[in-house]
Amino acid sequence: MRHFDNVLSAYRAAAADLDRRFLEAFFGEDGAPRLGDVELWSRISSQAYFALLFSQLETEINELCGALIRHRRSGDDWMERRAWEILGQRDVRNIHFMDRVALLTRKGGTVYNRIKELYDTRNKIAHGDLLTESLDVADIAKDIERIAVQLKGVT
Amino acid sequence: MAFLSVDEQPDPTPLPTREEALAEVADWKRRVDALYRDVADWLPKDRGYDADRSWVVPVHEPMLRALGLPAYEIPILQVQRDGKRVLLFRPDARWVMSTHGRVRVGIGDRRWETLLAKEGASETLEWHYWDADHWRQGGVPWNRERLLALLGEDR
Repeated sequence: MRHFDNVLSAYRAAAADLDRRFLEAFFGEDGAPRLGDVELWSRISSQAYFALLFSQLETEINELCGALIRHRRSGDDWMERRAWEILGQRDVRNIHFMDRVALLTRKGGTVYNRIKELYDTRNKIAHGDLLTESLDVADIAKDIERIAVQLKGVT
Repeated sequence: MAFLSVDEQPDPTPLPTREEALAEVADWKRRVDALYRDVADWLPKDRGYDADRSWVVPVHEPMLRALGLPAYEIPILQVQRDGKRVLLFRPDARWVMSTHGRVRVGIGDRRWETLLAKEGASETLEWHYWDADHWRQGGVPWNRERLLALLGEDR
């Protein structure tokens, strides 16, 4: 996840700036934004940074899946490699995202379910919705980093 | 960096009822009140510290908007030393994904960190302090020692 730390640092800087703007709005300083505007900007900012962090996980999953498929289809035993050969005939990005995840971790397990929750959230954002819950980007970053470490152990 | 591809539209997340949401707001206010009482109790005595919660801010969370409920009001806590603000606690959301609420903590004039309410080992809610040094481990427990460290009173 090459850009992960930089995205998180950028988010922290943006969040601190919005906190300062909140205080300016609270005190009604000259030229200050309205409180409601700052709250909306904070929501949009956290959702945007969340989507960027998730894309880092998505890239990692693509690379791990590609490596797994290449490894498994290179074996000598046709009985073992036949299904992997079919999977390897297409770009890994053409496999549904949660199927890619299921190649790397047990479907219905804790890691799978957390990725599904994050994926659903990312899809809501990608479809243009603003979420009814706020996101804490640092909390989610911690989970994404742990997920990436656990998935690496699979291949 | 990978670009997002939009996959299927996830199912809408079920919302709480209006009554459940109002009960959550009441509980959130109680928990923030308890947090503020702890902070006030933990401040070193006879060192010029004062805890002021006279500022009240309206919060209109997206969840409340989605349910057609009005904003609620909640106090901000300022910790002052000799009349100068050194810490500020701003509860910005009860509904934060995978948590039970978030309070932003302003330290001095420029730095902002986070308190997240998370379920502890005994399923009771605990405050965890998150900053750039501790996000990877899921924050650290919020306690008197952490407060004193933020005030520079731990040396």
